[in-house]
Amino acid sequence: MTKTQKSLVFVTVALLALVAGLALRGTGTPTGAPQPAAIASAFVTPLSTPDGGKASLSQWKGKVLVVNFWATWCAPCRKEIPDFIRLQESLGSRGVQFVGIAVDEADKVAAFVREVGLNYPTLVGELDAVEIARAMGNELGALPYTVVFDRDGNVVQVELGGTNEAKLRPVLTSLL
Amino acid sequence: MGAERPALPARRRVLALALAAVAQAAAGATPEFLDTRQAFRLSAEMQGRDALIRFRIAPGYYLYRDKLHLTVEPASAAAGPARLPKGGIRQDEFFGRVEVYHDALEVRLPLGRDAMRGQLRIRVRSQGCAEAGVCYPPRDDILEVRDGAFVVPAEPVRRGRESLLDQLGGAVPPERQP
Repeated sequence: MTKTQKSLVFVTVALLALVAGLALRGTGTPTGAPQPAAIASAFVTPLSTPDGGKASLSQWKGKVLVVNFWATWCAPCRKEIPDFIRLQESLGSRGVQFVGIAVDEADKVAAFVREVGLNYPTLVGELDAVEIARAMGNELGALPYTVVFDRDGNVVQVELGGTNEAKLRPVLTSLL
Repeated sequence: MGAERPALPARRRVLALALAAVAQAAAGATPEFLDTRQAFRLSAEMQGRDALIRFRIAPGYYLYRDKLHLTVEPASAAAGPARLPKGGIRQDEFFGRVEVYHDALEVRLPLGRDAMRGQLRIRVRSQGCAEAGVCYPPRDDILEVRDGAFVVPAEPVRRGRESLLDQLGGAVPPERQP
């Protein structure tokens, strides 16, 4: 093979590999696949509320549910929350329910809820919250992590890292 | 630190990148973000009576200086506070001016004479983020010092589901020093 031919083979293989890589990546979720059994169990796991009570996700079954894992110490989490507040405001009456799960301390969460005027409930946890995030496919335990469920409790979308109103609104309205 | 790797010819770099993309996608792993242990690699060694705790921080990741806490158990084994180097300034949209570490970090922790005999533990709490927009929960690493040397278990400690520390990032053994 001449040098030019070798180069051509390299470039072709590289391009094919890149295309294959992007195609595969497009079909997969950015995290480990959420397991239905683990999710079912996560829904009934009681977590704390910022005021010291207990609650689990199961009470919002039947809604188009957006579960957002966040923390007050997590800047990218803080950044996306105003978008969630707007979406809850505009789509709440049609059956969308945002629920936060903070990997944090209850008093810090309570203060933040007041500060930003959070218009949807948030639960609080440490290990238990991380465990629920894992059950929902967040292998790294990193934040923010957002999972969209349809009314039947199926996972429709997961997002590791910040999301926003423009990305979420079409997904949510398609489920209503 | 090893010698710098020679630059690959451009076309091989392209090939390597493309193959890496395939491997990542095929493995179904998170392509964008590293596991906390890969993002923030911890190692430790003794230098005289000082414990040197190092983090090697992956490009695009950072640790917060004010979230870095070292505690010695028993507390009497410490001969002074941990000396944290100066970090770089990050202007954060929410937290204002914060000091952060990129690339590498070395903390010097002076230990007392007694630390050279018997056993002690150094608990390293750290917290960091990726520039690309995720943060990792606070992580606790526990390093064991026995008779003046870091204990390196024969096998890496695997992430378990039993302990709180494991859940929040895991207790890892110090890496062997060259």
